[in-house]
Amino acid sequence: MISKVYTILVDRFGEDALLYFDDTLNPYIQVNPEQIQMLCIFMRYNPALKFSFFFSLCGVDYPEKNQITMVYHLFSMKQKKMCVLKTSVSRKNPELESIESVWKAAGWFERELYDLLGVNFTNHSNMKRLLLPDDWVGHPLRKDYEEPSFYHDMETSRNRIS
Amino acid sequence: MPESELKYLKPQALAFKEEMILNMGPQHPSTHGVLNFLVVTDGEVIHQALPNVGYLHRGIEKLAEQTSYTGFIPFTDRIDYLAAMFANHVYVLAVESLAEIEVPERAQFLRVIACELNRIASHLISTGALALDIGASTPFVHWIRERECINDIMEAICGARLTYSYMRVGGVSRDISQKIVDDIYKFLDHFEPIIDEYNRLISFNEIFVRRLADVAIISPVDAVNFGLVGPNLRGSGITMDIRKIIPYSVYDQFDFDIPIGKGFKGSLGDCYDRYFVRILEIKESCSILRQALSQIPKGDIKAKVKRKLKIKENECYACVESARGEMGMYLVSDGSDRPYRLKIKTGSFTAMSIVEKVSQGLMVADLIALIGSLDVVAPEIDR
Amino acid sequence: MKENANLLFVFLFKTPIEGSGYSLAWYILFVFIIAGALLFFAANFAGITSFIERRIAARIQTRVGPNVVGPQGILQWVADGIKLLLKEDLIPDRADQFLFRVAPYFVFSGLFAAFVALPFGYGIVAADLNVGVYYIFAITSLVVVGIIMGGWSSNSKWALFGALRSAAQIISYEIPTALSLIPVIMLTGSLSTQDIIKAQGGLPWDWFVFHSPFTFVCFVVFFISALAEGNRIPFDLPEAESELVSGYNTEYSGFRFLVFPMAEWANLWVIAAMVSLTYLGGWQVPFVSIETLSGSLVLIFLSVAVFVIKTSIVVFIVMQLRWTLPRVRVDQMTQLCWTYLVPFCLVAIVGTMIWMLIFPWETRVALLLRLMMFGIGFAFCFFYVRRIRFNYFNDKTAYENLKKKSPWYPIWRLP
Repeated sequence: MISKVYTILVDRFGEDALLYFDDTLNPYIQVNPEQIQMLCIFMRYNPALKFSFFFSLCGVDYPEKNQITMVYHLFSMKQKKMCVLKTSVSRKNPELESIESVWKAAGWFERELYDLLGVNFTNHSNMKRLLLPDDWVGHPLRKDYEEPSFYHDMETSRNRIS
Repeated sequence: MPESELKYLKPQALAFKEEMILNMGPQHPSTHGVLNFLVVTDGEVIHQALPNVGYLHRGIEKLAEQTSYTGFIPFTDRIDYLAAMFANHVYVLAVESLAEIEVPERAQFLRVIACELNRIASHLISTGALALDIGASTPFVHWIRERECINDIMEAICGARLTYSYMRVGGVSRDISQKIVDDIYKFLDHFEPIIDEYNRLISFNEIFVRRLADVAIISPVDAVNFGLVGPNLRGSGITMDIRKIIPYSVYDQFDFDIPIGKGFKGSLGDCYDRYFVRILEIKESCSILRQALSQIPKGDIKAKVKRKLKIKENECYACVESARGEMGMYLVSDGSDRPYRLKIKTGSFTAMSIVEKVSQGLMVADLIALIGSLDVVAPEIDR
Repeated sequence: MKENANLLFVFLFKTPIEGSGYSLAWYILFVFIIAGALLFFAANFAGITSFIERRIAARIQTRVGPNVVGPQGILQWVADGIKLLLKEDLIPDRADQFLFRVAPYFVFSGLFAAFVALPFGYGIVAADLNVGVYYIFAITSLVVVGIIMGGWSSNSKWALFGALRSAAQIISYEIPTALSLIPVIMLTGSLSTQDIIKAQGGLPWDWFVFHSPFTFVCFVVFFISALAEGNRIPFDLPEAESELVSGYNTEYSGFRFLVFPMAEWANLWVIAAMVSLTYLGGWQVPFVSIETLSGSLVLIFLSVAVFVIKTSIVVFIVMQLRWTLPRVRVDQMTQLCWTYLVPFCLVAIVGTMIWMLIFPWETRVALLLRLMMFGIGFAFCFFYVRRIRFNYFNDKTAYENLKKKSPWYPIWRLP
């Protein structure tokens, strides 16, 4: 299954860049953040892999580990299986290479992550907030996010209105 | 338009003096919810259409982190109000696979029946609203009439007409009686000929065909690249259906086709293909419903689940084939009674991102057709 | 001073107008009475048609429609009018105030002036102009001037889109409308609406529509372009409510808004009356010659009834089309006009000329050919009715199967 994919990837990228975990329900491959774009290109276009479908990109904030983990869900029609890639960036100054050039679909997911988690994707064509207003302060999906009590001089909490 | 928005337009935009910027939405009759498009047009021809989403962002993913596993089910209804059952389904699938709960067979069949009914209802709205956008109001009203029958059945099944909250972790909320089964059969007998009538009314109407055929063509390569899912992807001729490829629930027991676009009236991947694939899917859903109703076994409808569900540290990605394509949820648990992180991936989100590419060179009326044929639902984009 | 007053009195009340026995004051009074009567008819027709159209639309869409105000909702249009009158007359900021205020008047006057030359029965016409048909087309183009004014002055891009579409539409469709009437004018030798009707007969095969295949083509072309001129679906591009929010009248409210839909529905009568008078025999009563018609008041009333019935049928068909068909795109609209309608018209004009030379109206062969054409036309109508009947019963049985009761439409209920 995914372990076969892992062996193909290891042949190309070497042991120390990739780690294979199967302690979760969907086994995943931990990737070095510097290599994520190359890996994605390889996975998409390698004739043995052909992970042509980009399912989703998710970011999980781990304050205690002081890192944000990116989770890529890829799907290969050829092998009819899903592959999960993970890569972690630091919480302080999260920066990661964009994979918009590999899958256009990732563009909006990355913008959403920039919006809600504050991960900055380099080489992205249009890195700005997607869902929230442009002048919003903070990144709501971070665990230590606190809602500002005022937005444009409007109170955001509901209980003080009455 | 505010000056601050102007800088996000691409440099080639506004190069011609004849161009103007049209703010389409958020209050526009055809944007299917609260959406905004910054449209750069030269007369009627669109040079660029930038979708501007986020008006319906309610932070459902953040809410999930503060709600218990079972308490989050009603929130999933609000992700996509036209096809609430699928969001229910994918969420309980994710929780069940994390908590390792075995769902009784009857409950799985009930889920499939509810989902397929909801798929029909959602496709009715989608195809009807497309006809409404093109200017024909009668097909929409006729479809609403049929959807009303489904809503009545849904009300009998789960007590709600729009936001169902039917699924429970480990099963469904209530059983269906023989009367409801008969009602569904009666509805199907009534409904299947109506599809043909609808086709006579609008699908093969010459004006309708000409408005949609060869308009806003999405090539298969683009469709995959932009991550289109569901009927939009199948309209581009790619046989991709989660029900067949990663079978969940009991879908592997049914025999059904995956309709794909073949360039029915124009070229492959145009608006008409996306539209007609939905019509064909309605027929397939009817056939699945008949099979599910005939095979439904006796038994429990809900597995034993602890009242306060706590799931040990784990994560999973569950996906279903929703009416708007693959809907996935990535659920991370941390041992507490709440999800640590929930990521909801929806079909409309990726469908919206392709508008910018496809809309170049279309006319204003075609943009409406494109949005209608992509079947975007605004709360699903913003969540 | 007194002499001047006397002179004025004589001029107003004693001096008969040339060619008639009445003085100027009476003349002005007549004009006002007739104009008032026409206005009364047009405004009420527009209102009642708006109600009837909504009921027909409801029946087509298996809904109920407005049925609350008055018996069976028949006063709905009055309620709508009062509601719109009570609304604030809003003028958008930075709109061109003058043009914005003036535009509804153009629409209003353009349309109601057309009623002057429209006949209602034998001899019942406000002014039997010798350029009647072309007067109507010229004056209804004024509506578009109003639409463009309103759209431009609203300072809204949607309204501007609607106005420009309207301009493109009228520029295109004036031509096939005019061209498709040329066969009729050739057959009649006159532009007067009364003369056109008099040249036809009461029986269907004496109508111009069945004169030859060419006039039949012209009839279809005329009907299509009349739809386009009246901004009806499938050509309601200026007011495409799903694309342009509401088109040229997006920014209007209150009474100024009311004028636009009112003009649209009054225009419906103009379209239908034009169709029926040019091609469908107008007020001609079957089996009654014009000489006997002119003698009897009862027969004149009958002719009015015939004309109203014919026009109402055309109005109904226009409504039915509106609630059945989708809308065409802008480029398709102009393409349809220039690549199909105009060439067809030109061919048909030449064809009619030749036809007139080979088969003059009075000959037996011409009558036979007209009968054949009538047979074909009748077959069209037959299949049209059969198709509707088929779909109706299809839907009815489906409803009965589902609800186990039959849909009950009592005969006394309005459409």
